[in-house]
Amino acid sequence: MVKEHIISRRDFIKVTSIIGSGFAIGFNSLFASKHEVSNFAPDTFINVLSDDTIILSVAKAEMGQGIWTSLPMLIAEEMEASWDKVKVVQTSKDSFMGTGGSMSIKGYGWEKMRKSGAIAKYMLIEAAALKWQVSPLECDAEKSVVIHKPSGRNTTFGSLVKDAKKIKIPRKVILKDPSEFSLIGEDMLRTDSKMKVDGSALFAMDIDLKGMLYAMVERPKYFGATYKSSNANLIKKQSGIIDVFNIPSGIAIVGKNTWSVIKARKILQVDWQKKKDPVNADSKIYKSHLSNLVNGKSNTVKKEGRPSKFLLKSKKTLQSEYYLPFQTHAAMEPCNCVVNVSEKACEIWAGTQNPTNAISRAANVTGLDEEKIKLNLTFLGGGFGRKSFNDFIEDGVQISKKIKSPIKLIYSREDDIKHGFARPSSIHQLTADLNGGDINVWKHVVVSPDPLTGNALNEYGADLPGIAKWAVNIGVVKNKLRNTMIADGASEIPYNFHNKLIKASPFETDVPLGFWRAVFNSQNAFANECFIDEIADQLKIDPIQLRLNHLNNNSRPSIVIRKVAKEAAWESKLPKGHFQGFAYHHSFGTHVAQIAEISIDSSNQIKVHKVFSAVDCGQTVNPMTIRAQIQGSIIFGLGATIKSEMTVKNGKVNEGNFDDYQVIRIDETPEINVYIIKNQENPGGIGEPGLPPIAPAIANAVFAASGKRIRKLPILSKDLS
Amino acid sequence: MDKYILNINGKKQTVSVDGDTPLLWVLRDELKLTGTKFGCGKGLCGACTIHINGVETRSCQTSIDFLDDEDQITTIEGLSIDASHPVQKAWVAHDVPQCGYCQSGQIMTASSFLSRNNKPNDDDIDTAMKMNICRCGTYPRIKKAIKSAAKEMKNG
Ligand code: FES
Ligand code: FES
Repeated sequence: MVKEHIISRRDFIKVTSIIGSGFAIGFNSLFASKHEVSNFAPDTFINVLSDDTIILSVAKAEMGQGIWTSLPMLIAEEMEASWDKVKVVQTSKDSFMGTGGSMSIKGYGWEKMRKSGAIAKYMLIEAAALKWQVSPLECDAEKSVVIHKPSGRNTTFGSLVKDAKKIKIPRKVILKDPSEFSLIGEDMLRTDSKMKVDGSALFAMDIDLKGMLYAMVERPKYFGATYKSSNANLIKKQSGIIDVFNIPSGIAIVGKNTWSVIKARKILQVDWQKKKDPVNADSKIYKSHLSNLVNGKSNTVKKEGRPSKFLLKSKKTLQSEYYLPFQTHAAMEPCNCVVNVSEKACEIWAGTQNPTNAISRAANVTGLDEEKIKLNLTFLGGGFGRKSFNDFIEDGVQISKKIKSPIKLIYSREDDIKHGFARPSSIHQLTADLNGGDINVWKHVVVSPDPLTGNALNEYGADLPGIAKWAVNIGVVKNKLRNTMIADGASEIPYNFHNKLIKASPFETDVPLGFWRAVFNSQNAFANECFIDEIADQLKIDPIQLRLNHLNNNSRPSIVIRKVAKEAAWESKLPKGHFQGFAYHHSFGTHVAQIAEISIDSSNQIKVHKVFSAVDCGQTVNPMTIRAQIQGSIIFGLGATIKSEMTVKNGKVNEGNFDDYQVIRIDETPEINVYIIKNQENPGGIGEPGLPPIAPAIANAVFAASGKRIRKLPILSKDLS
Repeated sequence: MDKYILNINGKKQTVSVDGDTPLLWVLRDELKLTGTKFGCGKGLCGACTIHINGVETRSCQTSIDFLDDEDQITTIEGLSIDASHPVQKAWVAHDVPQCGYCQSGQIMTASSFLSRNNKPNDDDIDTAMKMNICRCGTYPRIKKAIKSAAKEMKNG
């Protein structure tokens, strides 16, 4: 059945003439806008030039996830554009999409981008038909050429530029049936590789403005501390230093170049007034708070069957607690921005996952209207959730406004690690009633602060409403109710246990918290998937079989699980000393099952040899990118499993650089095999779902290897002795 | 502040900076060669890797005082014309970059190491490349790309 897609007023489409002589259509793809907009501000363009070049703009930030390739592929597919004629640019308009939560294709790209391409194709075909005086129904397009089928006449898109402008925007378009796709689902090389291998790709830190000064901010040593005094006057006299002054987040040091600022900072001494009674701002206190809360009151997020009743009279229960530490993002590019505030305008260059919020914050600081704030979105040198907080952009605006000059603000690596918004540390108490030799009740209590309601957010420059809006809009969080998002990934466990109880016990802390790749799924998957392994061991059932027993045979989870078991040759003979562990998790619309193959050497070091990962993310757009994202997520998650941990002591973060916040390097990277399940389900996210299963898969493999149950991350050699 | 003459990408350049300024900041702030990246400032991540006389070097750990105009400095911008170095070509063909921030450093390390060893095995690659961090996790593709670049360098 051919389905007609109605173009509604909310699609905000217009033929525009923005760049020279081309045929340009602009779209406003902000799906959140329910109200009519009077000022049409397109954020996505298709621009066909007379030399056949097709310029496609992307309104989302490219932070490595391949969006510069996959979104244009969606347009080009429906437009029948020749892929080698496509050029991709970043939209530099002031309406942007936020980036995160793996939603780029899932929530936004799939329909909108395809519709846009279909509209362009329709108009080009109409233009050709009109010129040839034939029926458009007899025409078709292929590889940037319109063909009149009966006569074989044809002409290129470029030749139709002038005529296409006069065609009315259609009210309906027909999208291709997935069986007709020629681009979508194929391996396509990234469109941004060349500039990323010759040094020409521009990150915010690479922007250079005339008369630009360089700035860094010394932030309070302790969470919530306030400024008392400093030797700022001495610092002002250092060579190359222009000024030193206070801004709301700390002390700004501005100089002629980066090095003079770094040097001056080394002799800067500040007396900070510690906050009175900091709330749970020490790993030890925080951890004991977690333990206390686990048996205290909690909110019910989900209840199925009669879990409490069964647990009360259960004769066979199993209970375990799992602990996860804080993690910071440590993207390779530390936070930075370039800002130029003048009396009447403010221009910003930044890599942010949350551009709309950046603009409103800049408007607040400068007192200018939002229309006067121009944000140039640059590449992000990694985001992982950190760059959805625009504290660093606000700092840049504050400094430029005060010093009345363009500035470049950079974080040192230490600033970036010590002043981020960490993944919360959490405890998970899992209880099962195993009456009758099966899982009769599954109970999961999640104890963790909720970043969206915490103290820290309000106090450390995170702009709570702005970040909350972002998180909800783009689907970073599922459980939208206050304080229930910490159960994301716990409440949607797919196994069909008869009785389920999922509870959340949030609390406050002064540790600034935020969203870390895969958000709460990274924590909850660890607890879920380690616990079900423990149960399998108790019940003497193969752990994969136990999961399959609780899934419908042809369900998506069951298919990915069986696929990975087959590819990894689960249960067959492995090299001596090698052991496998399994885990599955579903997040952001994507199902992932993984098997990790490890060994443990005589000094109790874990070596991960191989990871097999089966992925069902529905209709695939660019498998080349999917494999890269799954590999990247596994490596990111592996660091948090066997190496890194952020700790806080006495109101401050202990770690500061890659010597004490250790991440995975090439020699620790396993061979990673990714298997993509082909189907035509709705496209799911790919940037995050590969991460949650890796920690439990490794922990379960460690049990197979050593008989030791891992209930705490990271797994260090001292925990195995 | 002193005057220094540097030989960068085959061109003599004069800069006036403090003698203890790391080459990284001379390249980025003074010469606007921003392909070389700042990642840690402590010699831990490799994002700032450049070549000095063909050898991979952390520019954040190299004060300008230690250089003279005989030293040939090569940055990512000077590695080849039009990204034609076998390592750059292999990087594109294997779709290595994700965010791309670490890649200048990765490529500078790989190109220098391959000029000394064009038949690397996995261990050689690990040893040579483990000073370069990639937070996006592009390591599996880096490995593949290095192997194919090695082949081209051997044949070419
Ligand atoms: S910036 Fe030089 S090694 Fe990290
Ligand atoms: S590609 Fe992003 S850090 Fe390496």
